[in-house]
Amino acid sequence: MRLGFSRRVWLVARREAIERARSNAFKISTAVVVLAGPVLVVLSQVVPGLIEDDPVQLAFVGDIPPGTSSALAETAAAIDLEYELRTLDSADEAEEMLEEGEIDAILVDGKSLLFRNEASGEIVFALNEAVRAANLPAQIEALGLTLDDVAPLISPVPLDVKLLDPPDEEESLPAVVALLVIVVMFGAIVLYGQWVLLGVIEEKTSRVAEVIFGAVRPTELMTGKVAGNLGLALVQMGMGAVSGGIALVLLGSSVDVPSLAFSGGAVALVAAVMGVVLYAFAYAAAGATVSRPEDAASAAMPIMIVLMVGYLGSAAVVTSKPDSVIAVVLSLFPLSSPIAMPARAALGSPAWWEVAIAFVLLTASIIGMARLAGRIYTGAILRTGPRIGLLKAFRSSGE
Amino acid sequence: MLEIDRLRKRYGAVVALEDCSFVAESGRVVGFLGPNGAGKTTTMRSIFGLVNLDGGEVRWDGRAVEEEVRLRFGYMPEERGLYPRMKVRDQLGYFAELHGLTARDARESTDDWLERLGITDSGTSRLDELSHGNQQRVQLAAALVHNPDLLVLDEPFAGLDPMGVATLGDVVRREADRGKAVMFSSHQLDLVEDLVDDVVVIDGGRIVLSGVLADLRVASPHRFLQVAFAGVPPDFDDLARTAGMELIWQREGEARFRTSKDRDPVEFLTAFRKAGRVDQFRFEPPSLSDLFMEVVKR
Repeated sequence: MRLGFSRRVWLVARREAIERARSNAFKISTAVVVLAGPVLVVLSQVVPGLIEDDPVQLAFVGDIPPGTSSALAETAAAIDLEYELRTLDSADEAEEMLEEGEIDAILVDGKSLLFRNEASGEIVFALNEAVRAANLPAQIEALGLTLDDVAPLISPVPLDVKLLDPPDEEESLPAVVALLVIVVMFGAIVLYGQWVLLGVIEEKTSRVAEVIFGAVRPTELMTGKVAGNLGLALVQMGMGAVSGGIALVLLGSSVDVPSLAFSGGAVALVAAVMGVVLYAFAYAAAGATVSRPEDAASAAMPIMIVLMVGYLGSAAVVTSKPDSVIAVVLSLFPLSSPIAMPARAALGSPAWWEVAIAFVLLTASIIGMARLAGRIYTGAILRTGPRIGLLKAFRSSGE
Repeated sequence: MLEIDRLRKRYGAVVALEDCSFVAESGRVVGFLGPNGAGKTTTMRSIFGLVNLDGGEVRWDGRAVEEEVRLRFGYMPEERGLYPRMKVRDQLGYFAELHGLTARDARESTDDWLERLGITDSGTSRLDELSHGNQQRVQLAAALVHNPDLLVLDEPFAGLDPMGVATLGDVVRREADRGKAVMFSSHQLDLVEDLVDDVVVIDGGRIVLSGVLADLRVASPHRFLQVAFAGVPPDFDDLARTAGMELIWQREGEARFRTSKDRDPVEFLTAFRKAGRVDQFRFEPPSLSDLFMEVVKR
C-alpha cells in the first residue's frame, strides 16, 4: 500500500535528522553554537560599553581660582561633557602625563589651557566658562557691587527645550546587537543550507535517489530533506538560545533585558526559520545540479552571492540607518528580509505592519521557491555527469 | 509478468533504445545481456520511471506501471544506491518502510535478509566499513527487503568472488522459485549460464535474441566441438579445413570448433583420433557465450 505524502516526507525527514545528528560535523557545529550563545550574550553586553566614549581627563595645575571646579561641573553638565578632574602639584608631571595621553588637557594657573596636539572645542568652552564664572565674584566686588546686585544680569534664563519628533519610549538595543543579529542570521542560513546542499549531493553521488524513487517522488524526497534539516536546525538553535539564556541569567541583575529583546527575539526566530527554509530549498536545487561533493561550493555560488548582498547591505546600512529607504527595502525583500528585518527589529525600528508584510512576502516566496526548486531538483537529480545548468534542469523536468 | 513494449529513447543523436520489447515472467530468471552501451541500464531504469522515454510502455500484469505498482518492484542499480555513512540495519529498515512496511515488519524483514545473506554481524556497521562483496549483499538486501514481486538487478555479480557469486546466485534462484520475476544483467556469461531460464540479448538498443535458453541452444543451427590432445597437438587449421569445421579458438593443445547441427559427432572424433591422442572431446549445442557472440557482431 502506498503511503501518504506526509508519511513519506516524515520518513525521509526522520532519517535525515537522525543521520545528520549522528555525524561529527553536527556534533562540532552544535558545540560551536552552544558556545556561541553565551559569547554573543557577553558581547552584546560588553561591546556597547567599550564603544562608549571614555570621560575626558582634566588636570588643574598651579593657582586655580576657588570655585572653578564647581563651575566646571555646572558647565560640563550643561553641554553633556563627561570628565574626570585631578589636581596636580607639578607642572612637569602634568605635562608628562599629557604627553603620554593619560590626561587630555591641563588648566595652568587658571589662565592657560594646555593640550597635546589638538585643542578640543568642548573642553575649551567648558573651562573658559568655568574660569569666567569662578572669577566673577572678585570682578563684581572690584566694581563695588555685590553679587546679589548683578544676579539678575548674570543668571541664565534656561531655554525651554522641545523635540519635534521624540523617539519611541521603548528602549532600543545598541547597533552592535543588530550587527550580531545579522551575523547570526546569515550564519544560520548558510550553515543549514550547506547541510541540505551536501545531503542532496550525497544522495545523487551514491545513486540512492534512484533506488528511493521507486517509492518516493523527487519533490517528496527534497521536501523531507529540507524538513529534517530544519527540525535539527531548530534543535541546535534552541540549544544555543538556552545556553545564551543561562549566560544571561548568570550575568545577574546587572543585565537589563529590555522588553524589546523579547519581541525582537520573536521576530528573529520566525525570520530564522523562514529564511532557513527559503534558502534550504534553493540549496537543494543547487545540490541536484552537481554530481560530486567537490562541486558543492560552485553549485552554491549564485545563492551565496544573493546572501552576501543581503548580509553586507544589512551590516552597512541597517545597523547605522535602520529607517533609511535601503534598510526598509532590504527588510521587506524576501531574499534579504530574514537577515535585515531581525536587525531592524533589534533596533526597534520597524512598525508591526512592516514586519507583517515582510513575513507574508517571505511565506509567498517559500511557496514559490519550493515549486521552483522542486522542478529544478526533479530535472537534475537523475542526470549524472557534468554540472547541469539551472535552466536546462528546469526545462527537462517538464519533458 | 513484466512486459517491455517497444521502448524508444534517444539522447541527442545517440539511439539508446529502438523498439525494445521482451517479457520477464513470474517464477523465472531472465538474463539480460548485451555489450557495453547496448541499452541494458537504460531499459532497467525505464522500468522504474527514471528515464523519460520517447515512446513505448512498461506493463506489469497487463497494466501500465505506475507508482503504486512500482512499490512491488525491487531495484539494484549498477552503480549502487546506498548511503555510505549510514548503518546497514537502519538503512534497510528505512527502504522497507518507504515501500510501505510497518516499522516492525521492516525490522523483521531486515534481520531476515541480513541472516539469509550471511551479514548479520555487519548490521550495526556503516556501509563504507564493509568489504565490496558485503556491500553488494547489502545492496541486494535493499532490493529485496520489501518482498517485491519483480527483482531487477543491474550487474549484481560484478566484482564478486566465487563465494559471493554463489550466495547471490542462490538467492536469485530461490526468489524466482518463490514465484517472483527476476531479471538481471551481466557480462559474465559463463557465470550466469546455469542461473538463467530465459535470455534476452540487446545490442545497439535493439533486442537481437530472446527466448528460453535451453530452447535457443537446441534450436541453434550450430554445434560446437571442443577437443584436447595429449602430447604433440596437430595443426588445428588443417584439421578444421579437412573436417569441414570452423576454428573458434586454440590454445595449448586444446581447440574449439563450430560446425553444423546436422553433422555426426563420431565423424569428427574419428578425424581427431587420426590426428593425435585425444584426451578430451565434447560435442554440444552452443553455450550462452556462443549464442551471445553469434548475435552480437562486432
